Amino acid sequence: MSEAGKILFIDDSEVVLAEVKRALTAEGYQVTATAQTVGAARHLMQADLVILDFHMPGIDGQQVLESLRSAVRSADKMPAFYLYTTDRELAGRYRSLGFDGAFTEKGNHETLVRQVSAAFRLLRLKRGG
Amino acid sequence: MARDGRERIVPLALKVGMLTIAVMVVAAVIVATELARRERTSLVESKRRAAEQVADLFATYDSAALAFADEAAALQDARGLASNHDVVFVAVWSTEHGSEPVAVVGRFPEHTTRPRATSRTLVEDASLDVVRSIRGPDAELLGVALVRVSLVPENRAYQDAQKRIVGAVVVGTLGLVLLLTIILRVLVTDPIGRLVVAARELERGARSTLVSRANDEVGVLARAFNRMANVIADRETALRATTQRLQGVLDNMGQAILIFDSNGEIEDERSREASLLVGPTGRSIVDVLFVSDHGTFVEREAFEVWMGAVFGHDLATFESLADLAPTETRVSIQGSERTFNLEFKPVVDDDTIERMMLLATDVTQERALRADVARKDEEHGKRVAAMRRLVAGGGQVFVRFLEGAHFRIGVSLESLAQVTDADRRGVGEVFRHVHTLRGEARCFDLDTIESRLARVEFCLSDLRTRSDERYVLADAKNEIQSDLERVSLELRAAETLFVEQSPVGAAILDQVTVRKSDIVALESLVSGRADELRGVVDRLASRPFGESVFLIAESVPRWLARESKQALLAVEGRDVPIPPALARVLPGVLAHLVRNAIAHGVEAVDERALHGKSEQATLTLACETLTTGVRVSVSDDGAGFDVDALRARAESLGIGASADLLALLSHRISTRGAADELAGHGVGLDAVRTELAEVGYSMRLASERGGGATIFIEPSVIG
Repeated sequence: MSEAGKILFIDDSEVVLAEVKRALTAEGYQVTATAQTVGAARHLMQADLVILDFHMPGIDGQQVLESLRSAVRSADKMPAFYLYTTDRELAGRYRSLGFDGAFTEKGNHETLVRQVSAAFRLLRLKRGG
Repeated sequence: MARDGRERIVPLALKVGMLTIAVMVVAAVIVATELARRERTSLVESKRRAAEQVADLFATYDSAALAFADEAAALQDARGLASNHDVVFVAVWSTEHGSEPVAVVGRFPEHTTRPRATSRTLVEDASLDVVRSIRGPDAELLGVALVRVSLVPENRAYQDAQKRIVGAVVVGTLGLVLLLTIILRVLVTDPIGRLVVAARELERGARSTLVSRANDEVGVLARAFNRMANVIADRETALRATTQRLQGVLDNMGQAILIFDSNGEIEDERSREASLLVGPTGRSIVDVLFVSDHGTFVEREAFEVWMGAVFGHDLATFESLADLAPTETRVSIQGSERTFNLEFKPVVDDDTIERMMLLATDVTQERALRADVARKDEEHGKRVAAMRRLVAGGGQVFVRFLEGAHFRIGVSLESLAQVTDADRRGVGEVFRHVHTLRGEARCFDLDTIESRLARVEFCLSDLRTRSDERYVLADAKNEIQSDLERVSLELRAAETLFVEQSPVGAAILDQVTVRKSDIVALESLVSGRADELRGVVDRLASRPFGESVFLIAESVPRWLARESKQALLAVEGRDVPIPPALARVLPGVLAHLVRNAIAHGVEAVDERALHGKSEQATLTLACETLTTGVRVSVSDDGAGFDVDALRARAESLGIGASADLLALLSHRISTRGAADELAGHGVGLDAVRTELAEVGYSMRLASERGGGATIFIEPSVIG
């Protein structure tokens, strides 16, 4: 994993994509932001962390998550999948939904930056520093 | 240890007493046994000698009876001997009669065999047997006598003696123990008890001293204790002072400094900032730094995993994982959100990290300052850009924005109304208008409108793409429509504010930028004409009344402050066009008149209160259009003019007292006692009149004593 941290951000809102990308890029992360769930798997190889919106048109985040997980062939290359939502109740169920974690307070970029930083620290700790 | 924590002890006196008793009892038993044994031996020996003497006599005396084989005499002799109550039995055997005794007296045991004819004495426990051979005159053996003498009295005497000795020893021992106990208590136990009490007080932190004049070891011990207590107290004082200094340093560092263990438990020692951060009750460091249920799932987990990775390991492990510790947190303290930078320092014990020191620096103000600077930089940039736009196009740029904004909102609302579940093509157009509008609003610092439009953009994004069952289109449309209508209202409010702040009032909404040289040229072209074209050119060349009062409005608060008076300036008719000639002189004229009004007309606050007026006076600058030009008025609700004083002063100066008020004022007459910077010279009004006359205008004064004054500036009556 590079020091910068590579993030794949999937959300159906172009506005959210643009603003989150701006906030995380300003912190030094390499962010790939896309509203396309179809074909998003091709970005997985370059991602350490995947941030996923849950409510998307025609498909929910859990389906996207399953699809993306199945696209990663090696468990060693599996990025961490985080749910991005304002729904506290949903965030509390992230484990049962299959996510590795949840970023709450969607829209608050200052909080998101702190949460993403913690997620990368956690990732490194779990992978042995 | 006892339950109360005190040490369970066995008193020294008890130990000494018990030991003394044990020793004395053993000694008493030994001594008593020995003494009694000696006593008994002596008694038995006496009895043996007596018994042997008696037996010898008996053997001598009884020999005659045996020599004559007189058994009756032998029995008689034996009875005589047995009459002694100490004699158990007497038995006599004759050589002539074989094994059977010839005489037996007393409790002679059956089956007692004849003893050998050898004189001897056998001492048993309870008796002694004296055997004597009985011989005749020629020493021939006649028989043998056995006398058994009881030792019961001796044994009883022995036991009595033993009891007496033991009793005496016991009494003596008890007395000795009591004496020893008293001595021990006085000399050792009590002083040591006081030492123990003093030591406990010292343990509790109290300063403790023992008083002892004893010159023995206990006294030495007490004095040693006092020296030790003093040293401890001095060290504690020094330690406390050092701790206080250290605490002071910590408190003034502006950092929260605290220590926690591998379980995250925070220890008591902490700086003032740390107490604020932790709160009144100590909590887990995880809860303190990342409040649960605050969107901190990830941060809490990362911190807990990190603690698990570094605690219990060595320094090298910590250093390799140091950059994975949290570096920042945001917590709520006493209702305010504060940001802390975090720095962790391991406390190593035996090469293992058992505790951790946290230095949390409050960077809230620094962050706010940095954000403020950035925001101000951004604002400055915006203002520069806005100024550039205004320089380029005047206030019309903002006016055009307002017009365009209303248009975009109108179009957006219409398009939005056409959007259905099946056809959402119109959303794109609405999005474009809203996005453009948001950008323009940002340019004019209309933050509220911008943030509302940002929300509308979010909603439009959803509206364009979402179709799940939880999404209700009508609700989304209503929400967007409501926001757009609010934006429209906010634009109206911005327009109102813009007009209010504009020097020219509502005229700002109807202005275009033209070249001054073009107007001058146009004026020359219509010079000499009195038709409608001349009227239009005059209006084109005129300036709004608001321009003439713009600088005055800014100066009035300063002038009032110098006079320690309070007044409100009202401007009416900002957009009334002022003919160019008057517009050139009007700012100076009005400034003079307003300063005069503040100096002479407006009363001090106390004086107004005495006259039942409000503390704040009212100054009004008004302008209205006349058929022949404009009428400008400067009014105040102050004291008005003291006409009598003016006339009296005119008479004293030799000026006609019948002149009108303005004439009196214009003839350099001032009622003010002393001239100052504002007014009172009595020369300014004359100059003003002259200046106005040059552009075809004159002044007229109306005043009411106590009710204020108004100066009208009107076109001069020609002819």
